Amino acid sequence: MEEEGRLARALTIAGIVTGTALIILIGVYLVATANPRMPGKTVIRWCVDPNPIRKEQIKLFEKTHPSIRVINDPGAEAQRLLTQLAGDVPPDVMAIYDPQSISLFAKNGVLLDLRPYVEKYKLPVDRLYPSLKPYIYYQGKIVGIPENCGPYVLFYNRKIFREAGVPYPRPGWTWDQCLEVAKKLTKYRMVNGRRVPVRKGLYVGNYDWWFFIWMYGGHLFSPDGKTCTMNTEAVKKGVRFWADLRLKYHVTPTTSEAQSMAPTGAWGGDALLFRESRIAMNISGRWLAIQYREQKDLDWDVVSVPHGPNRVTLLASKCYSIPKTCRHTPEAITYIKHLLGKENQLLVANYGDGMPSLDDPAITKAFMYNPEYPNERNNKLHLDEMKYARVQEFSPYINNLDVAAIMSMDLDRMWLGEQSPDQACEVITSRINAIIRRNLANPNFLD
Amino acid sequence: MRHKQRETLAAYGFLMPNFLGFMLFTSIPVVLSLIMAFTHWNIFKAPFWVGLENFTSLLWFHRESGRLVPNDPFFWQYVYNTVFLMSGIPVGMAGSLIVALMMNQKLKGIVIFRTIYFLPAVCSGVALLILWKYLYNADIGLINKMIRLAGEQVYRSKLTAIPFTAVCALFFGVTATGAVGAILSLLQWLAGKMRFTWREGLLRVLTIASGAAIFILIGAFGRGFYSGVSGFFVNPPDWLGTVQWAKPSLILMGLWGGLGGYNMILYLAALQGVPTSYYEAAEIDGAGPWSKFWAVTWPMISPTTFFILVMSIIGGFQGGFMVANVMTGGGPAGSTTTVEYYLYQTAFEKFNMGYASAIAWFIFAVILVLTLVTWKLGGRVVTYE
Repeated sequence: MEEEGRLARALTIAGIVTGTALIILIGVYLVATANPRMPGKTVIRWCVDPNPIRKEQIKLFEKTHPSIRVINDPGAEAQRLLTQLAGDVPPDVMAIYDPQSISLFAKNGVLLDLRPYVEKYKLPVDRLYPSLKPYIYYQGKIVGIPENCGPYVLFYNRKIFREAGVPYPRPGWTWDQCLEVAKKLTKYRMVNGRRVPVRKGLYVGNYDWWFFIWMYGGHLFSPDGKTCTMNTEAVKKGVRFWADLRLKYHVTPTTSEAQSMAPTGAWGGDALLFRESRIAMNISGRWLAIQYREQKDLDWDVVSVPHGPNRVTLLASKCYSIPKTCRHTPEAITYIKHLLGKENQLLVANYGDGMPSLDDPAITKAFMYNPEYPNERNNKLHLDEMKYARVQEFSPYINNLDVAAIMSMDLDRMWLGEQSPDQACEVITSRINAIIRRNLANPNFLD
Repeated sequence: MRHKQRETLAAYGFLMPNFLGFMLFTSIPVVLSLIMAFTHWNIFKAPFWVGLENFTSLLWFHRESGRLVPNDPFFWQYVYNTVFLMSGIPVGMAGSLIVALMMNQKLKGIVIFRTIYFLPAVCSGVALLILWKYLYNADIGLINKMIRLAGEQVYRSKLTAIPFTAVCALFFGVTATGAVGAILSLLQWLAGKMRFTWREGLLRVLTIASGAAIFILIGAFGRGFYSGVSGFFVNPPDWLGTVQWAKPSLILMGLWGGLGGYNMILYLAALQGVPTSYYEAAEIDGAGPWSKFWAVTWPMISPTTFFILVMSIIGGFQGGFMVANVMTGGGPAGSTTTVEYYLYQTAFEKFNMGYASAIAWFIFAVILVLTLVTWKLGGRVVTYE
């Protein structure tokens, strides 16, 4: 009996000790690995998507800065950044992908103002493309430095054009011209009396509304951001054109058609459809070149996104910011300076993910011709399109996710024929304005 | 120290690691989330107290141009979607029971069938969802291909089209009448358990009257019924691409996965726990298979039915995230977005933690009420041995 008691006591103590030790060990491990240390080196953590180019970028930097070690913390989703910031283990350099997030972080006082460092470290902010301003400034402060960018262009399959006897499009072409070409390139086959699409002339995604909102000079929001202006005639006209592309002329696939045309049967995006020649033209950014250039039998080129009376295209980028709580600010700035440096920008130029953000003749020359990919003869177009490129609009009075949810819901109803384009625009305006009114009345929704 | 005290201490010792983990990772966060539901917290700044504001913004309505409009423009639509998707629960349970009854037969190789029916539960969820997305594809999906194939054969000539439509009408009418009958039986049963008695024969009269009404309606709208059925077979729907079909499609898919999964295993275990002596006694009293089921099996497995119902309600209200994320993106027109998906978006995409906590506590409150109601009703109808 007494022996059993001793055993029970021993087990009790062992249980408590093991449980507590486990919890402490996990805690110590998490804290220790959050900011790794290396003797004689300053380690900085770079939160950005784990693109294969990162390794080369880090290697290039560490070659010239042996006392700094850069670790790519893969992924820079806002959840990850916020958790790290809240847990007081901030990244040293973090990527932010859209102007509204930049403004959100800056508004909440998270981002370091880089203005004092611009002169000290000679950061060439003045040589960045002017259209990248929303990625750089917040209320006069410099809160981000974009390393690369990409205006949306139109990729087209040259082989399909040749086979259809359609001349290749030229930069500056219009939406009406594009529609005529798309009609010629759209192909169906008959299956038991049913017309089944084999190829569509053009792919425009369900979220690509900016081209059509801006097509006739319209805007989603008023200049002060307090009113949604989706119901203006300029926007309605553009949305009508967009709807006609799909519902009247059938030159762009519906969601179901896109899925059924995909070689995988149900999934895969526009890039896959383009690579498989199921769509002849596709609007996207420079980053798709990485996929397309690897497919040797794909003969493709780029041309400007068609335009209406208002010539404009969408601009995508990301910026690098430093949190105020960063523990290695000088090293982080040094790294950002390196990212804007000639060698790194040339790396970006050759890689294909985007175009360099510096408007520097030496760098742009390298971007225009990459001897490894001699078929990419039209890279200059990306540079030229920067004149027309514009970042997506946002209002500080409504979260972009709410805007996207409303747009997608009511545009879905339009695609399903449940409401006309004009009705969709009216409903979207009314719903977005209702949220803006609520948010203005209760600023808690605006954080 | 006395022996009993030592044993108690040992028990606490063994429980301690789990208890610490539970406190640290479950209990404390749950309590904190309740507090957070009354605060505004965007993670950047310290939370501050806002009282009931999150709940009024989430649940309440206001007047706009004379119309009653929800304060939250999305929430009630997502609640409706969630409840709609939960309507498959009773059918799924009935299906699981039927499969379990089949799997309970003493046949050679029954273990293989049990394994096959359990397979959906062990397969990768995402892979299955992609597979179903393919099956449901409007143009190349297997389901529409089969429907079209049948339609092309049948609706080629009126000689086959009319009898086929008549069979469809019969099937539709009988199914609808059966459904009405089942609902009325359930109501009568529940009423009986709560000591409200229906007049003798009322159930039969009501069922027959509804059946007659259904068949009269089919007859009256015969032409419309014909064009509806022929339209369905010649040009089948875009299952996941239309607001009308997206939710029913997801329910059907859920039934496939749910029939042979854990619910079947639970029912199988319950069926195998019913003493054979009860069946023998029933046989001696002259009971047939149907009577044996209603008089012996059903009451004996009622605790399992009750457990599955409660768990399904809990799971149903918490579900929908993976489906929305992988298959439909919550569309079309938000018709497959559930409350759980909205909770995720609010917390981890919009960083409105206080509001998200209010959503979480709303879900908890609904589950609690539904469970209590089920418990209250179930307590009266469940038979414990």
